[in-house]
Amino acid sequence: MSTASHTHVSGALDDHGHAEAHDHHGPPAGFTRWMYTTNHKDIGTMYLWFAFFMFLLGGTMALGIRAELFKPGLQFFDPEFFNSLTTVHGLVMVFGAIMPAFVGFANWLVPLQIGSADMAFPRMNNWSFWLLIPAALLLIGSFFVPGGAAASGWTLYPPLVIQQGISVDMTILAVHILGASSIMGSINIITTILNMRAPGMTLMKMPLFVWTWLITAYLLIAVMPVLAGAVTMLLTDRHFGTSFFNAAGGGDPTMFLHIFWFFGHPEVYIMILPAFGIISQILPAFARKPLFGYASMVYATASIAILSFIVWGHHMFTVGMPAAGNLFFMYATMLIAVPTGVKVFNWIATMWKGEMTFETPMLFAIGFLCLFTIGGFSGLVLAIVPVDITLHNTYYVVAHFHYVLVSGALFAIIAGIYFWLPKWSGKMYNEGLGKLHFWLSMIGFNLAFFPQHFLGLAGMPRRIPDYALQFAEWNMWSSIGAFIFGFSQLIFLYNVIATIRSGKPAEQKQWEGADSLEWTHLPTPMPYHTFVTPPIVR
Amino acid sequence: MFLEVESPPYIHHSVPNRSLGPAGRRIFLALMAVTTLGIGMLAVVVGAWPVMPFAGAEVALVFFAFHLVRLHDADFERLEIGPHEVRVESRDAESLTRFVAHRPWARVIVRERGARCTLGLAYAGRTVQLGRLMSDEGRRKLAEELRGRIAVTAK
Repeated sequence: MSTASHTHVSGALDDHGHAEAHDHHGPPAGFTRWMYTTNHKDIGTMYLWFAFFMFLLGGTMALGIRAELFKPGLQFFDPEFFNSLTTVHGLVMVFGAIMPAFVGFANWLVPLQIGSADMAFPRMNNWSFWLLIPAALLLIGSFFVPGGAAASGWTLYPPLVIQQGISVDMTILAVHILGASSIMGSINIITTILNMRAPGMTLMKMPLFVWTWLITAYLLIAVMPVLAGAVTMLLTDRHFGTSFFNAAGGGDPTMFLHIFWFFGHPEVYIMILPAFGIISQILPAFARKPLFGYASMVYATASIAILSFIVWGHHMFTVGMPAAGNLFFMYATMLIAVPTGVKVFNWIATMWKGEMTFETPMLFAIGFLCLFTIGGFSGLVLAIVPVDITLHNTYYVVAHFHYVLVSGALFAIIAGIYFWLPKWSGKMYNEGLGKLHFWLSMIGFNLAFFPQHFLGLAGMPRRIPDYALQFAEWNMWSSIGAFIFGFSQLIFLYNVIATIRSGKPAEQKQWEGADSLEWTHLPTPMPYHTFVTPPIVR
Repeated sequence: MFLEVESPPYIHHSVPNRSLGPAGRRIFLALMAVTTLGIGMLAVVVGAWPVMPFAGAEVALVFFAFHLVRLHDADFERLEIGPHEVRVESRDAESLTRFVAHRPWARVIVRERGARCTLGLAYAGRTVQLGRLMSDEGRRKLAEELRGRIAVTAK
């Protein structure tokens, strides 16, 4: 530009980018705002509320399961309906609660943390949210069709699933729609992160949450076709005369296990990597120290993602794989403990000699750290082939994955909500209620799931509505814990609603140690449009 | 005899923000395609061929998304307000448009519809869009900046 005195450049070359906080133009009012919105904050909010609703729904099913298992004998449900409860509980929690919650976080935080005005494809973003609604209706609606909901477990194993009624078709369609939504979300997130970072925001300056989502989106794109293919083959086996998994027609039911778990194990990391990202932002904020070993955290996340492709066999040590195959999957699984250990070490090193305070997000983050590590250790136990052959399909497995996904993924989600709610809503939550929520969750969760290790070690199988008398006492305690944990989430719901409606005004930088762009560059509450021109990151 | 001193022209130049270069884009897409199609091929080998169409469709979608971004890499919009003329030059994907207006007769039209704000430069019965690469708030700021330099009308 030859004429300097009145030259203004917007976009990448802008040098006064962070002064856009004077937005007096809010969103349109009414239902159409939510129906047609392309604003990443609105869509993030809808994802989070949807996920919370599904969490309550899946949680209600879990409480039904625990009520049935409170004492031996059949109390409330027939065995078929009990199996439907365990199946739909799993599907709802995985695809309806945990994954949408993390996509909600991605929608809220990715543009803010990379200094972008919105997602790369805002209309597709709107679509990927609204696809969730028909999928959820199909899943829940399957309870009301003849034969009841799918009862094969969330893994939808054939041949059982091939013999069931129309509810399986509804479940398959729901899984397809949820997959399409995830893929659209992932493409949007990847395109946004790679192309729309603010000037100066190099890859190695991105907050860990953004990094974990970049890798998660990559994993999703890589493995979602596998799930889509697997459930399509189930569908064609059911209705179009193919025999992919039907032994009577020359097919192989074991192939479904291989295919499903080739998707299923990366899926576990899809549900936990964004949690790592959230925790990696909360711990430094409350330790008032930078994250220890940032680069090693990035490499550890990438290593976990890569290794997740070669460990699927540890879910099927009992199907009769050759010993060499079992050994390979055992060692590969144990290898994952190395990058995971790097992460746990770095989180502890971040807190070491930090000026820590223990507000609710920090409590949940520390809760995550302790309990997820227990889940990781029980995973190592299950990785040992001879041990797994004994513990396979017992409550030990149930305890293991709930320590990973509830006290792992869910605790991180709750920690993240408490951490960013003041920024999102402009209001501060009630700290007392937050701490009560934490302690009840902590006690309730451990009471519910720790005894399940003992039950599994004693030989109690999973997915049964009745059990032998020797399992009665721990089951009773487990059910009491589940109800404490479940009802304590209502405190969370109340706290969030009360905060939004009448919370005290929050400060611009509510947490002293928070240092990502949304805290350092944006006012509280945030304007509807942010980073209209990208900030310069130094 | 005296020397006429004219103030320098006002120039507003906007470009889309891009943080990934062509090489990075190629590397990423290659990595993505190799991983996803590689997994698809593996599925075909074990007899689970229905995985492949999904993998192919997904890779195509990712390529299309990045193609949409790439199409607009060279986009820009340049507004120059000189002593006598107003020039708007704009590139949108493949098409390049130029618009020249006589400054005293040109005016900027600001249209507010709820949260939406659009800008246009009107002259001699024609209107061209302004601020295409900017957000609503950015366009509002631009309109404020233009007041005093050129006629601005709110509609």
